[in-house]
Amino acid sequence: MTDTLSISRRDLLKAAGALVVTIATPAVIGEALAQSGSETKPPLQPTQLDSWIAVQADGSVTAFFGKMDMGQGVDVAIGQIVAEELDVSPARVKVVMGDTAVTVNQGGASGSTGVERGGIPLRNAAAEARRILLEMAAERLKIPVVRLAAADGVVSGLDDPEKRVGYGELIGGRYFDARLDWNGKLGNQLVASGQAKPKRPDQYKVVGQSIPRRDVAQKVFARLDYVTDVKVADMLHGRMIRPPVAGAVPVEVDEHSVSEIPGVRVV
Amino acid sequence: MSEHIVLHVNGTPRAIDIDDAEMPLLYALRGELGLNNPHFGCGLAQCGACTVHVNGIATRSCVTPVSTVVDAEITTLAGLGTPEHPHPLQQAYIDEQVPQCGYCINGWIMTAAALLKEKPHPTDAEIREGLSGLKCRCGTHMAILRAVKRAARAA
Repeated sequence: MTDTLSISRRDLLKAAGALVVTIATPAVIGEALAQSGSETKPPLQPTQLDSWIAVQADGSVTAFFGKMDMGQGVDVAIGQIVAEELDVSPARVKVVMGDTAVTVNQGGASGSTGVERGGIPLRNAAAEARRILLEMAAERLKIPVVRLAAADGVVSGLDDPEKRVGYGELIGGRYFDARLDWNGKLGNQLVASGQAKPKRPDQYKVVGQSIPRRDVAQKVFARLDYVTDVKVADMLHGRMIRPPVAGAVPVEVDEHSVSEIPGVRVV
Repeated sequence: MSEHIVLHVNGTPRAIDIDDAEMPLLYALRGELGLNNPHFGCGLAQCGACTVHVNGIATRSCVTPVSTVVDAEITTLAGLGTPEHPHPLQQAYIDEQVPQCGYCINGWIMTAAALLKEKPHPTDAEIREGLSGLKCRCGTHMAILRAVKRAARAA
């Protein structure tokens, strides 16, 4: 569609007028069917489906998780939840976390809330994404949604499995631009949901499997950096001074007591 | 007053300049050589997160003066094995999915590797005794015991 629209007025005038228009029109319609969704990512809000789920051009899925994993395997579990609801292989789901620029504030990583609380909006969002993808596929394949099945990111006709289309073809690299209901809360209490109802536990194929973690080998071979390994230019090292009794507050700082340490700075 | 020394780390001689012969080996490994493992835990030889092998012996590098290991073979977790050629303990750690955060992992694996070298088929009691001075706040101890026993069977 971009190519068609980028034909400038001058190009049109240079070409043979009406002939160009009649050829271009069917092409525009074809492109519009091929590319559902929006080109621009909506703002990062809990109410936007795109804040939680993205389908890439190759059909792989990115889940945006607003909590952190610290070795509990929460990222693997979240990936399984999203894979389950979207009917894609868990290997094709990437979980982004720890980046507040691209994830909703789902609160801290504590109290075993990662999956129990953090998984709720991801599960709902993935189910809603699947619902919308099936609607897109229904339009594309000219088959009603109830006669469609989704497996590993491909939607096909129940009566005619040769009629099929992948998630990547439907919306890859673009945005759903679809709204979710949000309970207005951030952190652990945040709940967002769409029209789709998530699967029943007895339908689970991926959730409940024991899938190996991605960080174990990196840790075992000493190839994973920790926060204490981060070095930036002109970095100073801080020293926590704890009070001898609970509830004590600093009265004054005796800078002379540390002034003989080379390079010391009081900030 | 700076002194030029050479450390033999993971099979490679590494030259550094030090101002203080008493500086802990850990600081030389992390600060001077840029090795992000081992880790600083307590700085008091009480947790084991800084453990390396010095001539094959599990050693707390946070309290080992760098001047005492100049002629020694120093091995860190990164030098114990690689994904292509893992140490049996590293493979067992993966198979048992042992670590959670993994910050303490140098202590457990390097100490257990030294233990298995000395006693290839330790009893449960010997494993517990051999690893008794290590800390894991995530509480992965039972998985660690399974991994050490698995490595002993594999060796």
